[in-house]
Amino acid sequence: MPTIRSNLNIPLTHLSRIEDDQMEAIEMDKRSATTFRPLCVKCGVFGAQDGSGYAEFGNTRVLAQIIGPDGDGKWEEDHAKITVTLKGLENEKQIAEYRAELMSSASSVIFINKYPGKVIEIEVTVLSDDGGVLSAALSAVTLALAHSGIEHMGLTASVHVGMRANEDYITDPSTSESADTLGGVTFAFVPNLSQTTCVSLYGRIPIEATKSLLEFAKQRAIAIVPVLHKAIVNSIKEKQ
Amino acid sequence: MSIISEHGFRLDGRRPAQIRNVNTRLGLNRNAEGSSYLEHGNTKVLCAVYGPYEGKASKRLEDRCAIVCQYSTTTFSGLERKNRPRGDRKSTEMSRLLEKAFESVILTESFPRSQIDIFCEVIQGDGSNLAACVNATSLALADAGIPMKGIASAATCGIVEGNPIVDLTSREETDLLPRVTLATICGRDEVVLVELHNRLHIDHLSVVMEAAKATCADVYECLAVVAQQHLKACAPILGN
Amino acid sequence: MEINLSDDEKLFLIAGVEADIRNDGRSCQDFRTIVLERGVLSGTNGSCRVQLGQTTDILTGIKLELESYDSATEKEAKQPMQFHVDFSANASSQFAGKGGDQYGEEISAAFQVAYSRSLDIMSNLSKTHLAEGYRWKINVDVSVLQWAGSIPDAISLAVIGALSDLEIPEVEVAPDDGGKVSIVLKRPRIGGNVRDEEVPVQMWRLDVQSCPLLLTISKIGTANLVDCSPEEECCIRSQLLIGIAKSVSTPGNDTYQTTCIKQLGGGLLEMESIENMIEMAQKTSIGLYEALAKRLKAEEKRKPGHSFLL
Repeated sequence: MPTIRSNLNIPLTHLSRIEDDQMEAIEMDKRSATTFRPLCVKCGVFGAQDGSGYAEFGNTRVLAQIIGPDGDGKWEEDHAKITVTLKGLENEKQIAEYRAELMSSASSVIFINKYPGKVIEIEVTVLSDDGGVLSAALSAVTLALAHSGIEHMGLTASVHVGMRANEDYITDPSTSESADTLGGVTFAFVPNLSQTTCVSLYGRIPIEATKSLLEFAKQRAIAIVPVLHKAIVNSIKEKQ
Repeated sequence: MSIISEHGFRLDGRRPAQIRNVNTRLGLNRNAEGSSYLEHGNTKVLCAVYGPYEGKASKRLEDRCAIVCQYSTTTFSGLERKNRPRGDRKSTEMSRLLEKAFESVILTESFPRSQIDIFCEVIQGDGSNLAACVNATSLALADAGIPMKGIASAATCGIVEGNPIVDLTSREETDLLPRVTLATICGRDEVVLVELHNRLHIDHLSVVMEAAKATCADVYECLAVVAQQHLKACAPILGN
Repeated sequence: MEINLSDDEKLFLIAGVEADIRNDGRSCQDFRTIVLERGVLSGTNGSCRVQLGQTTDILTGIKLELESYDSATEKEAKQPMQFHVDFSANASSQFAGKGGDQYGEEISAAFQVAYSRSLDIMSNLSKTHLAEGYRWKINVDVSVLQWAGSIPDAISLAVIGALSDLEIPEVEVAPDDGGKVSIVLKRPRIGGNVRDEEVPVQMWRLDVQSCPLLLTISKIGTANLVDCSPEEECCIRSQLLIGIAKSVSTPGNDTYQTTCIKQLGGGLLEMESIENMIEMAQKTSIGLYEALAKRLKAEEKRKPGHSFLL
């Protein structure tokens, strides 16, 4: 079971980029193929604001904020417009890549027809990057959506899985652990409907192994659902 | 290396008053109203015209049509690779010049409250880029059937030791050689665009302008033939 | 380009596709006619133009750059290709100014991911690394001139065409003072009165047999399609961008690897659908690789002075 610390109330001053050597070294001799890094998820970080979520997997920390649905003088279509901005990564190409995936994933679950003429802005800030940024960002966005009250199809559970040769999988690898992998996949799926919203595979994976890699990723995503669920329930209790 | 050799030939073997081969093709782009592809030797330009259509409210004019031009070069068009295809100062200046020129050529009073978009893409730039764009745009407008006062033709001319040279290549467009780009309508005396680079002695001004006007008239002859041939090829479609 | 289809037209299209008949008569696995020409731009080191279905038009130019990097900071060899996709305003007026920048960045990022392991996939790419601290940087620039669906597929064909057309000069690396090296173009020694500058430099080409192909597989209704036209793109539920590379380990026995999968355009997919789409991508890529290899071998050298759009 992954270690959960989801009762934290994180003051804003503590949400800063922490260098690797300042963080307490968590000794993990040989992680088994199915354990996640120590993770912390929180739904509703800024109190009364529209919608915010925070996800931390090991040293990767991502914060998501949703502003809206607000009217915009210019947008007049019969459905909502979703914009995604991503900050905090150094590589421009990576920013463009992740932004496209986040946009695709968000627009597939939100019921945009229920908000005609409105604009929903999703701002994702990467506080520190140690592998698996996309899956942490997807988790943070889904928590922010739950907190904001925008109508959507359900919780999205996402996970990052790496694969070494011979079908040797590793769940949620950090940057140093992914150095010797052949490739990996970020897999996001909605358990309510049992359908995927994001499949992002990279590296060099033989085609026959792709199917089992995706199956394994789905199992790992199912394992993380109770954690996200608990975080959302806690945030509702706090509101009351 | 001197621009004109002692035998009176230029670097590519032309005489000072000779223009490069002009090759054109109209109607390539199926999405645009009118399109053209023009070559002046190695300078290759593609032009597309969209409109007249309703356009943006901010640019709308009550009594005439708004013209919007965009000049862009591909990153691989020049000798060195350019990072930004458009949006830098030089491209914006060229776009403004083209806009002002074609506002005088097109009969804008026929289309109040509409907008015409002109997009020029320089695929390979080997000198006289602006002149090639003007010529390509005139042909694209003719292909689109937009009423004009006449076909505008342009040429770039410089002067070396008192001898004017016409239709410059990129090797001749140096930082020391003064060059004038001139555009006229139908090869007559109506000037729509004048641009000067570097310093030109006042005594040489009339010489260069005369040479440029004569070249514009020559280029006009080529363009007029092309437009007529295109019309003859299209006439059977109109049922004549 | 704005395509507006009425609901009935969409239903007609979806029903037809589920019965394996598309609006223009193709089956779900057929591509439109592809025209590929190389060597079209004399100012670049390698170039290629691909026309898909007579409307989608892509022009690719490659320029080489000698890059010096700090060998102390970069321990691992970095792959030398940089991709840049630019949507020209000729394709659609929505791409004027910054309109096409976002979409272009997303596609360049997808190509960057698909080619990220190219040092392992392409056999002689490591020859671009010249000496400690120096390497050739291959700038692959793509310009989309006309747009009518299936952009990533056309771009991947154009990139492979341009890479096969690319000629990289051979160099001689000689040690210089200060611990640096001097790099000189290699010209073959020809005796006689010929001046050094007039002997053409020796060139070598990349081996493009196993370059990744990026295919867009779309889901309309319950069917999976390749190469969608703009009308079909209005009706898709979801799209997967799948990068497939061939690894030619033993002759006659090609194994395929996926280098990149991305889900684009919103929409939800079942696990089974994803597996079916990957299978379809593999089948299609076999056909495409064969056709591409045939064309690259058969194409004659372009005659100088002949332009490509005429």
